Order: sequence, then C-alpha cells, then structure tokens
Amino acid sequence: MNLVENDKILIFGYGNPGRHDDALGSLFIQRVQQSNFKNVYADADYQLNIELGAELTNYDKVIFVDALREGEEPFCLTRVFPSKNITFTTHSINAESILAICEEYFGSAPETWMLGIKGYDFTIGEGITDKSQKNLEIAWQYLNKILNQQRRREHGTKESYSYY
Amino acid sequence: MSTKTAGRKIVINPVTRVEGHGKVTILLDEKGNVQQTRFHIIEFRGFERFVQGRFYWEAPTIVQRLCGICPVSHHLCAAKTTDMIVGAKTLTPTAEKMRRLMHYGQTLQSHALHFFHLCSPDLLFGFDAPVEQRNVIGVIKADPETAKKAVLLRKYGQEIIKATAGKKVHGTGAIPGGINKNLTIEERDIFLKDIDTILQWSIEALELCKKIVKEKLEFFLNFGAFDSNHLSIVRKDGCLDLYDGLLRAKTADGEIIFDMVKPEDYLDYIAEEVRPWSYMKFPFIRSLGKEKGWYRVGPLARINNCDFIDTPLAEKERQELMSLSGGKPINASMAYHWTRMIEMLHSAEKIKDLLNDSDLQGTNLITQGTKQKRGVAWIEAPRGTLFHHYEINDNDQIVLANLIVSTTNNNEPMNQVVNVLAKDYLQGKSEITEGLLNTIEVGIRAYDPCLSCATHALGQMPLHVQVINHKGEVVNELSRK
Repeated sequence: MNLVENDKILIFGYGNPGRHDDALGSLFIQRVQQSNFKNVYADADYQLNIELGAELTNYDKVIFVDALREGEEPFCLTRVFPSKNITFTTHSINAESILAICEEYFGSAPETWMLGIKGYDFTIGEGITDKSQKNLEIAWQYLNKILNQQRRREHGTKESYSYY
Repeated sequence: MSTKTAGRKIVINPVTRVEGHGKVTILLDEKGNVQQTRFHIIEFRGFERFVQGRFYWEAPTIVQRLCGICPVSHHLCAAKTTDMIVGAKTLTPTAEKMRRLMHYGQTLQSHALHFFHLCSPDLLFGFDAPVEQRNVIGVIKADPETAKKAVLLRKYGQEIIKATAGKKVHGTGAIPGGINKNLTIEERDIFLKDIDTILQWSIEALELCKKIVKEKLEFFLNFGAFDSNHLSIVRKDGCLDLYDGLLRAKTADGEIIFDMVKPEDYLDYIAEEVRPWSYMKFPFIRSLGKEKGWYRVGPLARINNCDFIDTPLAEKERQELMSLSGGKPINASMAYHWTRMIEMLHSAEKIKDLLNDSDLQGTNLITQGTKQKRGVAWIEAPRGTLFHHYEINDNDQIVLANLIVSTTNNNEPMNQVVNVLAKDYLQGKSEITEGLLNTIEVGIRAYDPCLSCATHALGQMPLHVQVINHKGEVVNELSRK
C-alpha cells in the first residue's frame, strides 16, 4: 500500500463490540481517532451499509478494518476491488459490493484495502481475547508506521513506505 | 432429528439476505411430498446475559450491542423501560419528540434498506432470476436513479439517527427519563432542506412497489398466504403509533382478541413456548393457546390492526390497501412489502412534522419520579413489536431481564410461510433449483427477519444447501460463495 502525500484517507472499522473479538474493528478505530493524523478520517459502525457507497467517493484511499474469522495471524492486508457479482447479501453488505455501488454511481471507486485482524471468539460477550489483543497491537503498529511515514513526507521527508 | 425419518432432507443454511445463522430444513417423504418444514435458529443468543447484573441506567447503551441491524430500537425500548424504573411517567415534549424523531429516522432507513436491497431484486427480476442479478447492483443497473435514491434515503435516516442518538455505535441520546440533547437549529435546517425530496422519494418507492404488486395481484395475494392473528401496539384512539401505545391483537378476520393492554400486564396476555429444535422461542396469545395463539407482527400486522394513520398521505395509502380486503386484515405474506412502504412514507411525513416543531429545540430534557423496581416497555421496531422487561435490586442492578424481539414474535409465521411455500412449490420436484430455493427465501425475507444480531467477521459461508436421503447420504448439495 502506497500512501501519497495529501491523500485523504478513510479508515472504517466495523463489527459488534458485543461479540467479543468482533470488536476488533471498532477498537482499531479508537486508536486512529486518538492519534489525530492529518487527512485521516476514522469512523465505525456495527456493519457496512449501502450508503457508504455514496461516502467513499470523498476519499482517495479507504481502509476497512474488520475482525478476521478465518485467515492468517496476526492480520491480513489485502486490496479490495469492486465486485458486481454479488452473491453474499444480508442486511449488511460486503466491501466489494460497497465499492461496486460507488463505482456504479460515481464512475470510480477509491483505492481500497481490507485490514482483517485475526479474531477467535465471536460469541456474545464483551472484551476481546488475549490473542486478538496481541494481533490488534501488531496491526496497529503496522498501520501506525505507514501513517506516520505519510505524515513525515508531508513535512518534507522524501522516503516512502510500501507493503504488499 | 429428521434423518431418522424415511425420505430426504433439504437444508438451506444459512438463509441469504437474512441476518445471521438461520437454516431451513424441508423433509420430503419417499414420494416427494413435503412431510415437515422447520425454520431453525442454530445459534444461542442469550440476550438476557447482556443485561443482567448491569446497572439499569447502562441498559439503553448496552442493549444496542444485541443487534447491529436495529440498535436504535433496542436503545429506545431500553430507555422506555428505564423511564418506568425512574418513575418518569410522562416525558418532556422535547425528550419525547427527539426520541420519536430518532425512531422515525430508524424506520425510514430500515424500510428503505429492506425494500431496495433485500426485496426489490426479487420483485424486479423474478424469483427465478440468476442469483448474480438478484441483488442491489442488479437494481442499480436496471434502474440507477431509483437505486441511488434508495442509498440516499438510507443515508438521510442514518443522519437523523446520528443527530439524535449522538453516534452510530453506542448512541447515548435516550437516557432514563428523557434525552441528553436537543436538536439544534443548524441540525434542523440541514434536515429540513432535504425532507421534501425524501418525502417525494418515499412516495415514488411506494408507487413502484404498488405497480409491481398490482401487475400480479392475485399471485402476490396468494404467495405464501396463510391466516394468522395480528399483534401490534396502537395509540389510545386506535391510530398507528410506532413509538408508543397499548397492545392490540386481532384474529385473521379482524375480531379483537384483546385491546388497550398496558406494557406492565404483558405476561397476562403473552406466553412463550420453547421447542427443542430451535433456540428461538415461540410466543403466543395465552387465551388462544400454543396451537392457535401465534401471531404476525411488523408492518402488515400494524396496518391491519390500526384504525387509521394520522399523516394524510400514508392514511390514503392505507385505505387503498385495505380496500382490497374490504377493510378486514390482509393475510398475505407479500403484503408486508406494501405495508412497509406505507410506513416508510408515514415516517417521512412524521419527520417533516417533527422538524417543524420548535419543541425539538427545547431545553427541558429530563423527567424524574418515584423509582420502581420493575420496568416493562415496548416499541414498534421496523420488524415488529419489541418487548423489554427488567427488574432491579436495591443496588440498582438488573436482576431479571426478559426480551421478546420482533423476529421472535414472527417465529411461527416464518415457519408457516416455509411450510406453505414448500408445499406449493417443492412438492414432487426431482431437482432443487436456485429459483426454487429462492422462492422459500422470498417468503422468509418478507418478514425481514434479523436472526443473529451482527457478527460479520470475514470468512463466513453465506449459503449451503444439502439434500440428504433417508440413509443420511448427501445426494444434492448447493453452495453460494
């Protein structure tokens, strides 16, 4: 992921804090909000909703953050592309579909990534597991480094940082 | 379970475009006749665990975690329950109207989502259309302007919620005895600027729904139709009221079973049955018993039960719909869609009325009274009547909580619609097609169930279908990835 100077970035976490590790997305957003990065906007909800398709066009880059039920530890960062071939539709909607809505309405969707942080317990209850807490820390350090890198560039540093 | 019975079993697991972990099982006998149908909930939710042991004033915030689909309904119902605990018998005009605004915003966005995102793909493209087309992107392609309006309707409702509840996750607007903020002039003007457009789009959505239904009126009136009782709250004068009122139940023919029941008396009228094969309980009207006492809730029940609607456009539409049955209750599952759109229009009208009411800018936000140890309240959530009941100890901790959520109230009707449709459409079929499976799902979706309350971690399997013969062998399998 390459962040260009003055990119307007949305980091959007989702999940239900009442489902143990499903809180990872919103906990991650709390970190972002406390850090106060320039040009970085953070928001959270219980789930993705179709109206986000109208929002994304306001950003250059978008990073969704969700708990990862199946996948590698500690986290997985993957590029997300619009998908019009939607077969998974519930009251919520997946990131690919959100991008497709954005593309259909506005002609283009922003470069979007999905940060999936590995979780283990999705039963009803509050608080995340120790293992997912560690994964959250590692994921946060990783993204924090990228965002700090961007901030330094804005102050004249020429070095760049990329991953994947 | 059913594998012990001769025949084959069809499993739809979970149901798409329905929230959470639902599963449909259809057991056919050796001749291909429908022997038994069940709509399962395969995950234990344990709502009460969330609330027990917590201080009562925490409830309006905590209960939102029960459901990521309709957190506002739980938020408001919990606030109403704790109103009773703090002895706030009558809220200040500002508090009540702010809550109502929040609730109508919620109903608007929820009904818009259901119609455009979950239901209209079926209505526009047909139940047999390719699954790739039967989704919101398909709607965008077919009618981009309408679909765009749907997105913006949702957005408007969500913004109303944000302005009244404070934030999307863990909103704190409603508190025991009132509300913690009013609506500023600046916020009001933002919403007023667009409300006429929202109203117009709500009319257009209803017209679209009516056009589709009227083209195949007989089909829609008979698809998944069955007689039931109807339960909802109504205002004291019989008017539709989504936020507050007294409980009314009618038979399928429109006879009153009970009326003007107060929340604190609900246990005298409603009981819940537990069945071993489902985690979701089966509520019923006590006086009619388990077999005959089950009922529908939600938009259809509300429109059937109320005597009138106090907003002119929605009332005109109600009269038109009810003329189809000579004023008697309509018992067609697909009429949920029509009634849902009438309620969306009603919500838009109510929002406009409220935005023009200066009470929203009042500063008297809280009412207090004599504390009680028991609180019971209800609200008409978008999917139907929602009950909250708490009892507290001397330390103000909740020691008993009983919640009957909308989807639980509609449990038996959803089982009934699966049964009716299985008999109508699957009987004797040699091959289970996507279209046939979707037919069953269309029936369930009409009730807009919310099954599991929002775990959306990446990696869940959306749909898995198995056909199992009497030996327990998988003879047909279908997955959507």
